[in-house]
Amino acid sequence: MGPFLGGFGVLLALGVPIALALGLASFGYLFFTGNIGLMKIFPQRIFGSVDQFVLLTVPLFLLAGNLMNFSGITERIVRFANACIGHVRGGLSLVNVIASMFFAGISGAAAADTSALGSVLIPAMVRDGYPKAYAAALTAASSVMGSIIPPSIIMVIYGVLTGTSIAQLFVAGMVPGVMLCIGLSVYAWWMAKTHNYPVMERVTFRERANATVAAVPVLVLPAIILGGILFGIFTPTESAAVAVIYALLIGTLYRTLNWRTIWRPLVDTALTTSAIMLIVAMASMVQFIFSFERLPEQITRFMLGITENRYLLILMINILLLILGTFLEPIAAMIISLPVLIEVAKVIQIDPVHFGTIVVLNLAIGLTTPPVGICLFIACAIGKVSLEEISRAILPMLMIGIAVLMIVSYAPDVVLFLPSLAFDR
Amino acid sequence: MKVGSTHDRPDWFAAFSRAYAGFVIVLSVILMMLIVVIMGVQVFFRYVLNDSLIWAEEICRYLLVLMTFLLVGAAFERGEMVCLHFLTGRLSVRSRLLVLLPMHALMTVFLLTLAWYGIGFASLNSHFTIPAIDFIGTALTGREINLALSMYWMYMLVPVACVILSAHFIFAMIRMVRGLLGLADPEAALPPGHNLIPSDWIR
Amino acid sequence: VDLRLAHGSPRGHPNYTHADMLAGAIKENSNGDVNITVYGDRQLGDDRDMIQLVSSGTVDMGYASSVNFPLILNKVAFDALQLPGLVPTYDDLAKMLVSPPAIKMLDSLEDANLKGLCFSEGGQRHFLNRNGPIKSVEDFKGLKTRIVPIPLHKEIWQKLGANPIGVPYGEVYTAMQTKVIDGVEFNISSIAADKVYENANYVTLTGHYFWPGLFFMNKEKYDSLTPEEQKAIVDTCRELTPEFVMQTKGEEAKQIKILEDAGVEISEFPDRENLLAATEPVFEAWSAKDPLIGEYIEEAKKLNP
Ligand code: NA
Ligand code: NA
Repeated sequence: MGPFLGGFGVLLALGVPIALALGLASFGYLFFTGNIGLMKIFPQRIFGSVDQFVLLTVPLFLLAGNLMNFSGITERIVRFANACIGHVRGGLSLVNVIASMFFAGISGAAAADTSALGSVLIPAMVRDGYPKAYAAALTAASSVMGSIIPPSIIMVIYGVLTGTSIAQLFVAGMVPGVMLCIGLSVYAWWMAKTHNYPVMERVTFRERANATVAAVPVLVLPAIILGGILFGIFTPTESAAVAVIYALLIGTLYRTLNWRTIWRPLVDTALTTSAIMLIVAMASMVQFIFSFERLPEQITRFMLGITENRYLLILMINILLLILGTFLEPIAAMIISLPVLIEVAKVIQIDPVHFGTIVVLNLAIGLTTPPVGICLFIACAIGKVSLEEISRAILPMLMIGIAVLMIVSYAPDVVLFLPSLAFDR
Repeated sequence: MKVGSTHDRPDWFAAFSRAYAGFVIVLSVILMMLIVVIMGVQVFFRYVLNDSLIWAEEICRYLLVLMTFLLVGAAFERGEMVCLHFLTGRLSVRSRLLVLLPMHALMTVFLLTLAWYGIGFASLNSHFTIPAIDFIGTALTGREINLALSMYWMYMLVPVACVILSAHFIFAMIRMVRGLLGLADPEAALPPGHNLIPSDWIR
Repeated sequence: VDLRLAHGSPRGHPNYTHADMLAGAIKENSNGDVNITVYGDRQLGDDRDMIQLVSSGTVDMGYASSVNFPLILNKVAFDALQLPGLVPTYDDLAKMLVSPPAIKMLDSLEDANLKGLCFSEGGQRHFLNRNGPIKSVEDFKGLKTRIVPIPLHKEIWQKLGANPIGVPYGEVYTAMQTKVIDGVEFNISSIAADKVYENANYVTLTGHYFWPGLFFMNKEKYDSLTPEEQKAIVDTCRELTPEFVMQTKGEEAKQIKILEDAGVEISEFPDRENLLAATEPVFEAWSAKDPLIGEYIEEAKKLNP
């Protein structure tokens, strides 16, 4: 397996897109191990891995986010967050974090948050005198909440891959999401104090009321999604479709969507979906090769051979997932690693909902870890900063994410008490 | 809408590029809308009418499959495919082109090999059928429909996707060679995911 | 000769055990000549994938539930195995799965490049629901019931007055928990393994149909073997079928005990006659689809004259 990983790494470093690097490395592995006949299976795996009902959550939640952004929802959220917290020192940076949390309640993917809020807030923060790299990094770091606070594409896929209750995972994601929000807010506030970032004018009571009223239709959507799932009106996958229909209604209501403009979010979503699915398809070949070589059993045995201490094993899983998340798209990372990790999780008898939260948190943080992270890339492109600059600025924020991750890993009750209240567990 | 990039290209190429971009737009819109409508109708049937569409799940899966495989080329051209720059980004534009050119050749070889196996797979499995089509037929007509439509064309999407994507790679390589030979701006000759000048293709 | 056998059943499921039993027995009966490596637990794909993997020769042998064959290979005859109440007990099933019409079904796979080896059984289907035990067919009325979305099952459950819904397997737990469905027709080991009972406390032992499946092999690979090897594989497999069925029966009894210990209320179904009467029209409708179905029904009627 060493040559496989090495080959994959070299291809990535030489600029091959991740999807093709996964495929090429698998192809090369079969070629050099004299198993080229197994190439016959690739088309079936590629087709079969995309031909999954649950993966419809990818285009649907992406589309919901794109439509929301397209129909001016983002501005309403920013205005609302501004009315809430804009008057504190470093107000706009706090708005960035808080707005991310609200947006996370609507979108299912962190990347949607980065591009939607980034396009509004990064230029605004730069105009107000914040350093470009800081504005971009804060946007990327806070958008991680998009994949943790429900709804979340990663959680739906985890639930289906492992047979865990998606509704419980959704509820369990609330607390870590809010913890991340608090952590980043405190950091932003501290940065504002030490760097003397600007304060904004306190908004009038009238504006505050107006901003709240304008945000109501937006704030209702998370309630519809979560309530709809909790009360059995629709399944988590269907909730994605409901979110889209709601976004279409809002867009029509606000007159921002019409027959001449609607093609744009649709095309954007379709192309992003295609690119993500190609990664999923190619990752399934890697997973196939791993299974064929019986790697999951070997790695499990190896890990349990090092230690049987549950706390150390959880730490090892966290490190493994962070590394994986750094280089791979979350769904692909789960396809490849879950067959192994579930075995280990069974041995240490970790609650599946708790474990799901750990996996999702790791992979979501991975979206913002340099050198590869889609949220990082989007924030760089919007803020016109280099990867080096944003990487330096985001480091302390990553530490906050990892601190939340550690709390979640070692204090399961933090995530499990909400699902225990909501469900008969 | 701005569709297809037209600078310093022969007329036929610009026309083709526009037609292709139009195809991508129409296909994206139709597929996305169909998925949303079918899933919405499914919720309505299940929750309000206490009935369920036996074919909805399967049809939605196929729509996703169509979207994935027919749009990979467009996704590449728009720079949607994530790649790393931390190493290549340090090189001069000329050296980047020199590294990326053989990489794209390698990827093209891989894709064409995959396409070849994909055609084999589709013909080997042409006896599989698409049940949903029959379910829909039965639901619509009220009579038993048994077309047993072959999955051949669905499976052929895999090689089709490989060919579409390799075509994009080949054009990307032509652009890179032109950039290296000084026939075009080297910066603009970088492939989409590496090009800091965002593509003006369907924007 | 070294062969690879793949299947999608998770560890602990009867079929997982059967695959291991088969591999061991074939090795023994061929005096160590046929060596089979088993890849289970969806390592190489799920049920549906198996048919493709084996048909295309990527994997030599596979196991898949019989429901897949009408659906993706258009072999409607396999629906005969799931006509409600036709085969009442595991002991009867053990005989039916090696009966001539059943072997004809196995042989009908040749044009799909598959050599049907033998049948096995995954577990009789019962009814799990949230609201209370099912005492009569009346109680099915309006229950949102998760089924595998195929025409036969949809027809059966509509005839029983239920509202059948095709929820993907991975979403059953959540669907039950969030009341998207009221009940699910399932085998006991899946109810236990997937912990679906956590959200629904009543199991009624309706035993409405069985869930057979089959071991099959790539046709060309099979043809390339020596007659001795072929015989060792096919004969071993078919001789094991009754054992597979009985193993599943024993496993079900054990799992029922586990469910009882977990606090699940398990009750017998007292209204079997009305269930059979309500689904009677399905027999006729399906007999018209393939002569083998009629043949299988005739064979089954000989069991308990
Ligand atoms: Na979210
Ligand atoms: Na990353």
